Amino acid sequence: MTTPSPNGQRSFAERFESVDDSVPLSLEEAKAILADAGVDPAAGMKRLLAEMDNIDAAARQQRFAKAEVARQRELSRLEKGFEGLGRAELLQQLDIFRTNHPELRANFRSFQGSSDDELRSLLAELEELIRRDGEK
Amino acid sequence: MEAAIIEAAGDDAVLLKYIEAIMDGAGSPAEVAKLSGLTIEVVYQAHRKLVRRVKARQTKETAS
Repeated sequence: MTTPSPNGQRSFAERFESVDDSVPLSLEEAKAILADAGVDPAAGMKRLLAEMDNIDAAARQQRFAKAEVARQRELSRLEKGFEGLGRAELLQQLDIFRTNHPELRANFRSFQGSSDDELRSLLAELEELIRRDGEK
Repeated sequence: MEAAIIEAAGDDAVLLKYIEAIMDGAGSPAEVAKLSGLTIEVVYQAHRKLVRRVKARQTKETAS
């Protein structure tokens, strides 16, 4: 003797309702439900796209502003040369030059004992050499 | 409700298969598909069609 399934114990109407709960909405049904609720999907999508555009524009503006700050900082540095830099920054800049231009390493060694002014002068010289090399 | 649904099916063979499966104990689209031999998509369509027909009949009855 088989045990009746839970479905078998329910009425036809209950089973029909149960199927109804599991049947996905058709596109037409979904549209009708949204229309009944006063929602216009096309207008909603338009608003969403406009909002995404705004977010994009704000992010772009922020990137430009950041780049502008960096540009101004670099311009100011170029105007001042290496005058405003402290010893740590001078050594850091020297490292950057030496890393980016390994051919210069042999010529500029043992500069740790140099004074800040000597370092500034060295950096200016290196910068000039790099600039000239770039023009070739 | 059962009578209204059967009446709404008319002589549509697919709808009648669908109803028969529910009468035989199916309580989900997958069970209806299994018992009736219809594909799940056809079961969905049959269900929607039946609901539409039942609602249309109810609206008609209310109006008259």
